[in-house]
Amino acid sequence: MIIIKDLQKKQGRYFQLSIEHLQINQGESFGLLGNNGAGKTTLFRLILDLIESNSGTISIQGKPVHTTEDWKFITGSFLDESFLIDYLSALEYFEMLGKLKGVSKEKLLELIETYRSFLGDDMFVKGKFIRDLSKGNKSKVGIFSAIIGTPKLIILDEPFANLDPSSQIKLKEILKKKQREEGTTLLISSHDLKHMSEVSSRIVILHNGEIVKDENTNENTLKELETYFAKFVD
Amino acid sequence: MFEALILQFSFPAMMKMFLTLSWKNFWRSVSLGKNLLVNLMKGFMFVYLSFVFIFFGFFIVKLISGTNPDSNVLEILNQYLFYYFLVDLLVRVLFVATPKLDLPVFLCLPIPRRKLVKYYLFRSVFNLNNLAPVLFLVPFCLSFLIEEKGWTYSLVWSFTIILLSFSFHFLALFLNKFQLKKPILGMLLIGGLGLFVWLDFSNGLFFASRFGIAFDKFTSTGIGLIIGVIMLFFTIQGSFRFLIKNSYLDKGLSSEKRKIQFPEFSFLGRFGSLGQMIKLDLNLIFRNSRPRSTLIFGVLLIPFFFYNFLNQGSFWSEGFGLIFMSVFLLGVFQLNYNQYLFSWDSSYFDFILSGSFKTSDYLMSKYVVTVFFTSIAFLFMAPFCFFYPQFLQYFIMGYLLNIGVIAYIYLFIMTYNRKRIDLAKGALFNYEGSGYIQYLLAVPVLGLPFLIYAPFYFLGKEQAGVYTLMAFGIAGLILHKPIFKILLKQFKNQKYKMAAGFRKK
Repeated sequence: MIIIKDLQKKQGRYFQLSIEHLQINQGESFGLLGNNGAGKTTLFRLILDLIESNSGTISIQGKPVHTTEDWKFITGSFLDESFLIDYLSALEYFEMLGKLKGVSKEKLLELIETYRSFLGDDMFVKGKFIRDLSKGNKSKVGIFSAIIGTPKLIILDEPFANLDPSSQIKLKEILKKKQREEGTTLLISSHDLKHMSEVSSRIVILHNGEIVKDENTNENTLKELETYFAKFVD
Repeated sequence: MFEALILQFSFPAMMKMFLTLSWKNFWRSVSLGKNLLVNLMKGFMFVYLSFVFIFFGFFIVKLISGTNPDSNVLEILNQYLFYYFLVDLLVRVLFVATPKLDLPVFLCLPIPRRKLVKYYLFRSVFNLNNLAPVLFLVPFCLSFLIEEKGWTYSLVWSFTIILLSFSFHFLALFLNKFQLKKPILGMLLIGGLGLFVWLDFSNGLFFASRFGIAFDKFTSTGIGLIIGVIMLFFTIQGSFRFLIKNSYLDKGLSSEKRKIQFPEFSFLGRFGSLGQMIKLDLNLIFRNSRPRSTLIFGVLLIPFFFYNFLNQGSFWSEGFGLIFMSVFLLGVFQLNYNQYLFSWDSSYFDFILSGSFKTSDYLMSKYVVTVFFTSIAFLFMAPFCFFYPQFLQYFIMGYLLNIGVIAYIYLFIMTYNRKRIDLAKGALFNYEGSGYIQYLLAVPVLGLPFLIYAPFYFLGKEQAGVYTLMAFGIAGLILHKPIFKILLKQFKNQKYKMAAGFRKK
């Protein structure tokens, strides 16, 4: 699905990110971990062609993201609030994305109903624009917008942050179901080790812009992760 | 209650902290270069205006006695004080920016709210508007008034003016909080001022001369000073209390919240992703205060230009003036709105780059919206040609040139724009998103038509010049596809730099 080769991103003289080779397969649930400044968001931004790499290539389904636009139509993403058009209402934003992704209004409303317990009612209050919503609800709008149109690849940067506990649980279920039933490739970053070990089938840890760990998850993953991150405490 | 009057701080350290923060804010700002230039200009204006006030302080007596040799200078000056105070209030309300203090950041720190507000009031005192009366009064008293009326009168007279002027300052701070209603407030004040002048001169109500006589009496009896002190006390109290009350996040500090219904443009939904992008642009214009007012200002300019158009024999009704006018009138939308093209989308630019639509559709939508508004301008102008058919060809030329040449210039040059715009802020004196690009744009946008037209004009073949300009517009429309290829390439080359600039708040 995604192949990264000899990727380097520098800021000044320092490496923000340096990945020699990384392959993410179709249907994989890929969890990205790392302390602040490790390069998680940088990697996501590079995959989405939002920033330019110094060298190397990233391709989605064999086509480099830098030179083609095909990937845009199979990818749903939400990194931060700069993905939200805040002078639209949540419903208008969803409708717009639906139209862009070729989802009919009926289908969209159906989809909203399916996810209603996750989305809640507050964002659908008439006359309320996205800019009037709470942080949690803004995140929900962003996450849902990435799901619209059954994309083959979903990229979410710290989706669990700002969500209330119930919504976090619901989001985990949603993501697992997406992967299991639709074969969606998931790229998720988070600081919550428990959520990540539950949702991901494979976990990669970045440290100072480099991959230091790349493993499939099993019943011991959470413990291993805790041990790994505990070593930075002192 | 008395506390508010004492604008001194028991913690000089706090003052120092705030000043250091402002200092750092200035030097570390993303738009440092622009700030430096703007501040240099401001500094220059400050020095210049200071000299003007001092000059008037010394020479106003000569100026007045020069025009009215037999009159009493002080009497006339007292009359004009009436208008001075009115204009002073107007200027303060409309133009004086209150000092910036990011209250939300400090609200949760261990600084008493009252102290924050006091600091805010204290800082606000330091501006030219407050210094101006002093700059004028000192030389005026020294060179004229003390000799004429003695020390006591001069001091009382000066301090009354200063006290009143300062109370206007605090009153304006209070009124300043109605930011959103500022244009209405301004219009009311200007209207009021106009009404006063009209009543004064045409209806013989003599406000000014009555005020002048009263002011003289107040000064000689010392009542003026008492009124000044009382007014200052109450305006400080008022603004202090008002600011305390409004220093909560859900009050004066919160951003504008709207619960108004806006047009939906749902019909555009039928036209695929291009339709969606156009719909988004229209929503952007109608739902956000800055682009909306930018457009309204543009439209308000039209009558002014029309007036000049009809003024036969003026510069604007022939030759270069007429060319400029036609290009400008038809391009009002572009000149106002497109000068911030792409910046309007800066708060969600990452979505624009990675959303499920082609970049070419995005660029195309910008072009279509421009054509749409230019066409509306043309339709508005067209009826005008029934009465003045000689202008029709100029309008057609302006229309073709705007959609066939200038629109492309904007789409190309604006890819060098890296300035973020916060949509929720108002347009009045808001220069966010402006940079050298906006000034540079004038060169090709207004210069190009002149350059094409000039040889024909100087050869006396003006008509041929107009046709040539039209031809350029038509050529641009015919070559739409290859031109768009270049624009798309340019956009793709610049998009990372644009996105990086737009992310900086």
